[in-house]
Amino acid sequence: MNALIQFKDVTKTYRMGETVVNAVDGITFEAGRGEFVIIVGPSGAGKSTVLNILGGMDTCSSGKVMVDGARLDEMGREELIEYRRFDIGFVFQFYNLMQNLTALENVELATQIVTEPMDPAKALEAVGLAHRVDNFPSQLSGGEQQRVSIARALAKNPKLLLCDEPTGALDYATGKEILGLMQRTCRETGMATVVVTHNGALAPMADRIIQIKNGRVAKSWLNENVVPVEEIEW
Amino acid sequence: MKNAFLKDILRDLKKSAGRFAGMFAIVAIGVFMYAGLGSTGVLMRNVGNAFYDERRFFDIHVVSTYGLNDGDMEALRQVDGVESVTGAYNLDAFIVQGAAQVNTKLHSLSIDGSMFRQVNQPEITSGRYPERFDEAVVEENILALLNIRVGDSIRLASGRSADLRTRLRTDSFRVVGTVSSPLYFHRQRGSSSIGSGQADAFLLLPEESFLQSVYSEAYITVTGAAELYTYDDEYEDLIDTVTDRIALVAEVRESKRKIEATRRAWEGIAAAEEQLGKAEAEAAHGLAEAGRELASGESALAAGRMELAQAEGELADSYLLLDTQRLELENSLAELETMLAAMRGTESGLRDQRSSLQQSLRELQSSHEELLRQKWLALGASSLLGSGLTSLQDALLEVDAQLAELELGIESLEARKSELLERFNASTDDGEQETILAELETVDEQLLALYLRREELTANRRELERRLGELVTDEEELGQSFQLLRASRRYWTGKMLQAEEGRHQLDLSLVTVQDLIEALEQQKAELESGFTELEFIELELDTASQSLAASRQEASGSRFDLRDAAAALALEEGAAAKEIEAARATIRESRDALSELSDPKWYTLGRRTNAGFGGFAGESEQVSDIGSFLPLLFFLVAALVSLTTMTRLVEEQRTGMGTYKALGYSGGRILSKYLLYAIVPSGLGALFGGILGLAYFPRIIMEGAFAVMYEIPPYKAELNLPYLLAGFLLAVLSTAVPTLITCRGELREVPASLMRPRAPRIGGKTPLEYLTFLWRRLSFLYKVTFRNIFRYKKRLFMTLVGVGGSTALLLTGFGMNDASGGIVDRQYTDLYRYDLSVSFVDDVTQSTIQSTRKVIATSPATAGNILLREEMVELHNGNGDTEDAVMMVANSADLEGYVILRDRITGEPLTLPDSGALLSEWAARSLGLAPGDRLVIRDADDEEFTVEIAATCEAYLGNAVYLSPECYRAAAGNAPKDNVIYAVQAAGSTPGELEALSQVLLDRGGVSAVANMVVQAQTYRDMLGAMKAVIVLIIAIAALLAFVVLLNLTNINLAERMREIATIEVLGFRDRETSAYIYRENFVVTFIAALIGIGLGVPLHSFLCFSIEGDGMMMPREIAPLSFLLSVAMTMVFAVLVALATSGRLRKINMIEALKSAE
Repeated sequence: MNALIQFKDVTKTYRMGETVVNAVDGITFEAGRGEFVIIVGPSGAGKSTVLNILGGMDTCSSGKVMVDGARLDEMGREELIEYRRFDIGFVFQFYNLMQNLTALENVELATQIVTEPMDPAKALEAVGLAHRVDNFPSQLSGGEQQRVSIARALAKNPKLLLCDEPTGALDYATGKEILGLMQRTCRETGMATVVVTHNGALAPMADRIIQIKNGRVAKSWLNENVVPVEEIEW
Repeated sequence: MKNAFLKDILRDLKKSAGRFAGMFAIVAIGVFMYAGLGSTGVLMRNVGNAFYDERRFFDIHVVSTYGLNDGDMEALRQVDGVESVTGAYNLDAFIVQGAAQVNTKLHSLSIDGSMFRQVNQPEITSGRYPERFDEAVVEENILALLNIRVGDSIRLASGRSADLRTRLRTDSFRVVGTVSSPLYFHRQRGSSSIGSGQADAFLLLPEESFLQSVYSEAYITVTGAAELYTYDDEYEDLIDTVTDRIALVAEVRESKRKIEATRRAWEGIAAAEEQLGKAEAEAAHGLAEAGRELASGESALAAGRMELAQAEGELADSYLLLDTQRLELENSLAELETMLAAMRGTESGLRDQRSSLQQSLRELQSSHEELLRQKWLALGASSLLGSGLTSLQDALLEVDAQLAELELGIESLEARKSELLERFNASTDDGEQETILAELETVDEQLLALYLRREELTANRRELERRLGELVTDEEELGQSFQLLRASRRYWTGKMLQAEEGRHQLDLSLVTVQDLIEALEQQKAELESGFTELEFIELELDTASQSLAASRQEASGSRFDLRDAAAALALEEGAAAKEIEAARATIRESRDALSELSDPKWYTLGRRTNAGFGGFAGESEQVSDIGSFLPLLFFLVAALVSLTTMTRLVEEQRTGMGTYKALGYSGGRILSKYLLYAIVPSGLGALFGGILGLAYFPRIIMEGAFAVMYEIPPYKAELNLPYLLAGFLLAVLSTAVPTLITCRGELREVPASLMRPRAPRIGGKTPLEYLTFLWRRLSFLYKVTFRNIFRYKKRLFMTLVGVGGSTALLLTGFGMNDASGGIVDRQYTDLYRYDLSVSFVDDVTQSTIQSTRKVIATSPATAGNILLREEMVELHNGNGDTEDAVMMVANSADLEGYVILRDRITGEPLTLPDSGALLSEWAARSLGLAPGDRLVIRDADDEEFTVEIAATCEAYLGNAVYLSPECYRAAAGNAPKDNVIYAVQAAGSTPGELEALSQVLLDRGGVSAVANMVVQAQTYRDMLGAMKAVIVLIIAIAALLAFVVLLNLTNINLAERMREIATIEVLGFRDRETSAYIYRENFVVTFIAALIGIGLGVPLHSFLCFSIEGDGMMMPREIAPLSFLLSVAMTMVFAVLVALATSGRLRKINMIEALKSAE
């Protein structure tokens, strides 16, 4: 039981009037500390739901979810807030930056609320944006905005970095850069990172790959032969 | 397809239900206020109009200082335009029940005629109408005041020294019912001539219960007035016309009544004097005789004694003496005869003079009557002329109509003719030409006939016009002769009075001469009786010697007899003298009264002088004044908020728009969707608020506010459609137009760019950041707050306008409350420092005033008093504008401590200059006059004079003009006659003491009214109470609006910022932190908006005060500090409440949904 993340028979059921939809239909997997995990699957397979449950933004209908020994499925609303606050860094497809805060201030927004944050400026430096700290999001390119978003997540010093289609809104080259940044950060800081993507080609860059189809884990394996993202073409 | 579109619309409506509900509520409140308050004044007047029509309220009320006799009534009935004249009695009395006294106004009720067409129709609320002279109906109040029931008896008392039974057939009445009267629509019962001067109730008695010989007043209805709206100018004009005619009659009747009264009084005095003269002569004669008898008895006794002592020796001497005495008497007699002859001559001369004066007086009277007759003839001719004019004008119109018709006929015939000619020219067939020719001929004939007819009519018309011209000239001439008649009548009336005076003087001298003659004749008689006496003595002397012994015995007996007789005589003499002196005093008093006999005066009053009618009309106008401006502001705020709501909603919907556009929907179709969004909630809100407002707002005001002061009759709510429609249209337009504009702007873009999210607004530094010293001190989250505030300019502006407007309205409401409350306090506490005003009748004597002053000065209830002249006057500005005002003539030094004269704005005290008047501010404004301008003052006797305005002075209730005596003398040409005493209450004296003094003063002759300023202030306070209730309602609605606006703005904010909120929640912000993040911004903006609202509210309040002021009423402009505080505090409390109400929504935000899409 040394795994950082543990999902066991997790289901998520939505009621749509008469019909019951199982977005997640009994998922079981584990992931260890410092691992770079990719959850891959087609649209609507339930991978985002898994990530949301893992990030404490959603709750499962049944099953067991453990992160670093804590039972997420048993947490209430308030506890989940604390969990998100201290343990999770989230990177969104559309960055979700505060438009009227500078890059630095966006990072500060996150560091304000945790006990042992990184220095916001250093976080931005780490993602290569030392020269744009005082720019507002609208003055930054998409890739730069996503970097700010990553810096914001990292600066909280979370246990877990969760990314939902982080390159979905970026062009190929920028997307690659971002993924590279993530991979590097994971290696260097040892922070466990979970990336959700529909792009199967990215699988070789992960330590662990979990393939999801129709709400179930179709396949899950450890990658012995990790390839830096720069070498992957898709 | 269509279904999907509709479904989308419905889903969107459902999704944004909160915002639509907010818009609905705001529009509903705006239109509720707009339609409700706007229509209330109108409804009040409609209710009043219907009520007064139904109860057949008088149109004109005539009161005469002499009362109205049958001749007066008949003269009124003859006035053109008068429909009915009803005479009535009234009297002020107390109902006394144990210790309770109810100051009551008694009115007559004619029960012989048909009850239902009576003027001022009372309404029985229980019981029945009185049927006997000792039955009464009372207002319901009385039952409660005295704790009695219908069927009980009440006792009335006059409240003066005179017994009430000199004026009523009985003073004990059985109450047979309760009643309401349109004369007492106002719950205030008005002033009373007895007691404290304030009436508590009224009751109605049968006409036959009154003993007065003449009617106290007459109520007149005017033909056609009931069909007019009583608050309209048209009605006023009609009444003014009739009132002017009555004024002519009044002049005639006044002089007639004066002559009658003078003649009657003189006849009475003359008869009394004649009787007195006779009585005096008789008494004097009788007394003299008795005295003489006594004297002779005594002297006889003495002589007898002497005789006895001196005997015959002196008899010879006695004879000698007798002869000398006789000689002396003869001399005196001759002297007297000459004097008498001279006196008789004087008397006959006087009589001749008197009869010639009498003759000329008779001539004067007949020429005066001739003048009156001429005037009536002229009046007849005038109305004849008038009807002639109308009929001529009618005939002219008729001829014009005929002419027009004729022209039409001619035109059509001419057309026919030219058509026939054309056909003739075109035709080749002989036969056809023939028929056309024939027809042409007939047409020509007809045309000719018509031409002739036109000629004739035109001639007629000219003739009519000529006659019309003549009539107009006639009318002008008649007008001139009217003027002439009036002037000559005044001249003749003067002459007559002069002649009367002359005759009176002659009568006086005649009486004196007659007195003298009588006295002389008396002396003569005395002398003559002296002769007889002498003869008697002679005879006695003759027999004396024979009866000496017998006389001696007799003498001792008659001595006792004589003593008794002397005592009786002395007694008799005293009694007669006393009686005669009393009779003389009566005559002297009658003469004094006659010389002071006042001129009768008629007062012709309109409906507005009735407290109920005038008050209600005024209040309804005030409500209309408030209702014309304030609701628009509510509406403006509502419109602005819904406008921005729609703009933001549409901007938010750009992706949807882009999708529809990409799908190929036409711009119009897409537009229709958003127009629907705008129109449905605003339209429904407008209808809901409008109908609710029209149905309930007036009801709340009438029953909540005005029912306290007026006996509001049952009425039907009216759906005032114009207000509803205007509100609806304005509401719909104010949302639809901005929607249209925003949509068009969005739709101009290509679908692709529409579907992309709008480029995020550039964040930037806020103005605050340049204040680095301050900015650095702010915590990070505060910085974010300020960034947000300044980033969304539109949102900021909308909040500032919406919330600021609401706060401004709140402040205005509170300020109005302060102002309306301040009116009375300012006037009666700050400006009027006196506590009692004692007014005298017109022809009061100086001695009465001085003695009254002494009574006041010696009363422990007062600490000082001043004497001045107070008079109701009409102010003119020379441009035809007039204002009624009270004119006060007094010294500045006197007024000090009684009336404060000062400038409202600077507060600087003003003094009355030797030339120039002080005019109250509102009157100056209304007349458009400023210091230095000339003001024309027309006094109660229609005398005009002009003064310069020295300055305007502060006043809040009623127009006033103040003059120094010097100024008055210079302007009016005579010295001011003081007629009012102002007194201040002594510190430490009780209201009861002042009231007791009032009662004493009211019972004094010459005092016409005593007004207690505390009571008067309370009356005004009550009056303004209704206004206050209206204002409280306005404040409540303003508060509601503020709350709904804040709720709506917060809802929109939350809807727009879902993504932002979701983001910070994902970051792990705790609930409290999230709330702070969102609401701190709201609070700051709300606070700034509230401050702006205060800034807006002050001028708004001023303007509203300005627009409500009228009829001499000014409103103090200041707003109490508490009102400022309350407005801001309430706004902030609402912001907190809204935050509490919406914070639940923050908890329920679905982070995943909010963050899923790019938008």
